[in-house]
Amino acid sequence: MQFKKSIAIGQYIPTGSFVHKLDVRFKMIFLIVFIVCIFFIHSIYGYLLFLGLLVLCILVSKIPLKYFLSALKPIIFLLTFTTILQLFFTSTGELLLDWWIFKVTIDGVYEAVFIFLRLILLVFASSTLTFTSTPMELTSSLEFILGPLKRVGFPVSEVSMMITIALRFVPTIMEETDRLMKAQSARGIDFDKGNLFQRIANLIPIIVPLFISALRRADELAIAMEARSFQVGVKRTHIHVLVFKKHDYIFIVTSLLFVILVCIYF
Amino acid sequence: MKFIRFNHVSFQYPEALDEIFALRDISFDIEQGEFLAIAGANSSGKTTLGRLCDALLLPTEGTVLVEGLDTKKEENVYPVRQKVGMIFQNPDNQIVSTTVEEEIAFGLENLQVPSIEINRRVNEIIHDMQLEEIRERPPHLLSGGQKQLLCIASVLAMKPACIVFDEPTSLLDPLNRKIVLSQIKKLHKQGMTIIYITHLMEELLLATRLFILKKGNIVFEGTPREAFNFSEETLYNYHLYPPKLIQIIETLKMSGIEIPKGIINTSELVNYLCQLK
Repeated sequence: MQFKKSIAIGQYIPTGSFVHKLDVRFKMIFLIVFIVCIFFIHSIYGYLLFLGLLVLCILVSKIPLKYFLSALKPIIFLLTFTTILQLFFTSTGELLLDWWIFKVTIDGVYEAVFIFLRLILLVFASSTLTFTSTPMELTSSLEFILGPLKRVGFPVSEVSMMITIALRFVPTIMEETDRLMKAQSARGIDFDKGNLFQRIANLIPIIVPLFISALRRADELAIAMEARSFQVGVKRTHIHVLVFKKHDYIFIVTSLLFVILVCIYF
Repeated sequence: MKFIRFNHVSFQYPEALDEIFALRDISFDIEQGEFLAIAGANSSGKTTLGRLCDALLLPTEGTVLVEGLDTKKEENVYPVRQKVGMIFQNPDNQIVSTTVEEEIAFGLENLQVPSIEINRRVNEIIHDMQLEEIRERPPHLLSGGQKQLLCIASVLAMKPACIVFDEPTSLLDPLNRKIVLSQIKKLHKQGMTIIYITHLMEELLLATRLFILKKGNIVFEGTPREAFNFSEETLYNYHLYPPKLIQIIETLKMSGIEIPKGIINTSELVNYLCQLK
């Protein structure tokens, strides 16, 4: 089993487009507003307008559509399941089809289309953000957006430090898992055979050493960070400072206005 | 000028069950610009000694002074850590950030250096160490040698006067080891004080002074050249593995060829053997 290649952490795809250059904090705030608005729309036109805006963003970002489609893969089951459920089990509205236990009503069709578009919009919108921003940009943006919480004692910079370290160590731990699995395979464990319980039992000799080594790593990393003067709770400066530019303001004002107006009228 | 002074230092790990001291009543001075190598078996106290220099550990008894600052005093801890940098054995476990340039900036960010100054210094270090090509790369896509060079770069960004290397090459392949060692040599030439912990006899030769530790005591203090005159038995006793050269000299002696003391590399040996003819 080889899963180093199959999982991409930090899905940043550099194309140097306009969307990439936008201030990441704006993109993140816009995404949040966009997602909230999706749940307030109750007309098909509203959804189509939103989809139009998103398609425009995707086209400008110059990122091939196949990346967006592959982002849909993990939710394909959820997507078909909820759509079918809405289609066949909505009982209100004019009856269109009645066969055995299935009843399709006009409301059901609407609900099914809504839920389908909603999920697709959610995935495409958040993918646009993660495809066009580096993990570091995302963390520093999160630190900015959560900034006000510092006043109530929430450790914002510590949390963002934790996210950074987690992102940094994902590939390292993956490599290690890969190595451990190969080592166990060499000793005769077949990870693809046996019933569910056997398969779970097979994972124990992977998980135990993985945890031990992760704890050891954490210990050494803490010492290395301390040696470079890291202190918990002390303010840090940053190499990259996020600066709002003119086009950021224009983008955020127009797009937010558009989204909110659509949300109100449809 | 005395850069680091150990004054009757003993150290005991608080979690140690028995009364064993990791270091016992050790006193020495390190001059500015010196290259000190420390050798010895596992758990002989090498790493403990290195960490005492950086205030990562504080002596149980005695004092450690770095440029006159007592590491035991709380207000001195961070100034000392800025003067003395640390490079550890496993580069994977000391890299914090997701790109090379962010990693170099990490220490400076902790010191609250303004971002313009951080950028200036990071650019300088990247230029000096020729890391331009990998500047934006995530650390897991670097080779072992590049990772260790990155660790050195990120310590250098903080402008220390001394760097403690704790077996920095023991996880590297021979080529990467050579690259890292030549960087360390360069730093020493530029006037950096270097404390180098190692198991390998060949690496000792870079140093100007050598300590061999055994069970928390300094059992040998001298030049690395002197260590090359030890018999194989003494070396094994100090937990050092005799390099090929010493093995060859021993074999030559056994077959009746007289070899004088003080030969430390192949060209010296070859020169001597040619004279014999």
